[in-house]
Amino acid sequence: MTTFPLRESAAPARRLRALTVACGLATLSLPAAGIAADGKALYESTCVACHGPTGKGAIPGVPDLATRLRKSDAALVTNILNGFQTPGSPMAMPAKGGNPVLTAEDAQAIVNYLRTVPATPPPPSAANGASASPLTVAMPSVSAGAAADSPGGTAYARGAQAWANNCARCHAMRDPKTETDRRWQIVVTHMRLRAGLEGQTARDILAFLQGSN
Amino acid sequence: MNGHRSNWLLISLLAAAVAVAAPLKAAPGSNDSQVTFHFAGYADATFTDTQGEAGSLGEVTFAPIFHIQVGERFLFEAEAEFEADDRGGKAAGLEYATASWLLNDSSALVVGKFLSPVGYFFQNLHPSWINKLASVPAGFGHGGAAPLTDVGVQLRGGHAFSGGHRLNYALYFANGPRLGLEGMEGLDLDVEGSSTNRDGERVWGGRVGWMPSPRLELGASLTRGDVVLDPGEMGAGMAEPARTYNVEGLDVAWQASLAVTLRGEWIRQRVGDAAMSVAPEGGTWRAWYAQGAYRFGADRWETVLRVGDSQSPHSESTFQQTALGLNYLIRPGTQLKLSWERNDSDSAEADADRVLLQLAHGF
Repeated sequence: MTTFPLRESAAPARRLRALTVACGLATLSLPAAGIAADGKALYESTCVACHGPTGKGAIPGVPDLATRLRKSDAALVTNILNGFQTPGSPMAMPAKGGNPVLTAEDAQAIVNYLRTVPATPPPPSAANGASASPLTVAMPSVSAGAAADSPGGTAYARGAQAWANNCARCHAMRDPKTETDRRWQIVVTHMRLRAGLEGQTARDILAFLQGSN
Repeated sequence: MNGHRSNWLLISLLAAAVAVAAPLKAAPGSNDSQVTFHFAGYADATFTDTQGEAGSLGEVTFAPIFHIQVGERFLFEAEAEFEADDRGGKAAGLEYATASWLLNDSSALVVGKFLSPVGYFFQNLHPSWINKLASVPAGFGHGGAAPLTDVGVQLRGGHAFSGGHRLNYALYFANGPRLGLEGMEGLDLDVEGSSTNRDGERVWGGRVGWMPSPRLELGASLTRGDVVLDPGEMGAGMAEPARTYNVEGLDVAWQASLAVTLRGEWIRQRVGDAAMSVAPEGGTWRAWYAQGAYRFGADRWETVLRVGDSQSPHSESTFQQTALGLNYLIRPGTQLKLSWERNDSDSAEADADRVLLQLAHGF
């Protein structure tokens, strides 16, 4: 099982929970069952590598989504589709989260999901009575969603996670938009050699970067 | 190591590399003959205020890196380095120049002048836009205890195991360091690679890194070989014997949380005694550091604490250091670093405390 470290503070989680409850009440009238399922799968395949399973951020420079969900649906969908850089943050979110097949409907489904999902899942081993690290939570399967089941979506999702796991270990994360597809290929080849990445991991990271630039 | 064994080791390494070569899984739309050029690198400017000296904004580094990739399998890359230090010295050199052949998903063959695969800091963290302080750890820079570059051949790569474990490795066979004299009997170990191998001896070794989780890496390095002293004018007409050259190293990196990164490294180089030499006594170069970094303020700010120690046959390279830093990430790849170093040494030069302000940019 892959784990992601999260910040220890419970305050953002409480804010996210309160926000999602409030927004969930406001959207009770929506026929959201199907959309919510798709939104969850899309979030877990497209967004989770950077934003983490609870939306609090999984890599440095990614802000807590709890504060971002105060925006309107339209603004959030626009930000997802066009990309967005939170003022003051060194990281920019790529257009469509880097997933080239993401549609406006998909973006709306992700927003709906974020507004309705319970915020913080329990630590993975808490249910077993074991003491879990407060810094780790279960990483959802990236193959849960329909988009992730497509070959491109799977490589993209794996690549996003590999990018988060490997690149941030040594240096600040560069905006995928700074290089072209071919130039990212060279950079990834260079880093494959330098960091000792296996070939499939390098190809997945390349798929993510080329889908995000 | 005698020449016969060296040659067999080299042949074995190359044969193993070719034997495991397999067609790569090409990326969609890839072209095996496409040639692409890429320019990258880093640069920095440093203001240094050394205790007992006037402050100087004189240290500038420009290190361009050139990449040429041919198709999916071949990468040629070289890094040049141009430096001006705060004492008026200037230097230009070739940091590395390699040709790499991706054999399969788990291995690549690298030949040329490369960053030493022994240890972690220099091959992965020394560029100023990556290094979290304005200076390198005690003993991990030029003239320190860690090998820096070498000329030879490497087999390197990585493998992912079930359960999320990963392994990365680099095995190498190279010319090794050059051993000279400093003063009458003091050994001077030059750990920057040279394409000349006057002593006829070579070294072999490498590093293996194990990642039980994406946030933790444990590494171990080792080098074995021989080296022959070049005594210069001191030993004119004398035949110098070969002596052992051994390196051992350990490193660890742990991302304790999103905001906290911890890492540390220990490395030791030893040159053996040689009774029939003009400098019979061997020498040991040893260094370690431990570093913690904490990000805050929307991940734009970072504080860094590093402690380290360098032991060398030379007093100017023997010192203990505590360094504290405050960094501001202007943008990914560009940061302003304020560092304060407390140095403790018997050498007046190495004992001086320093304040450094560095603007570093990676491109």
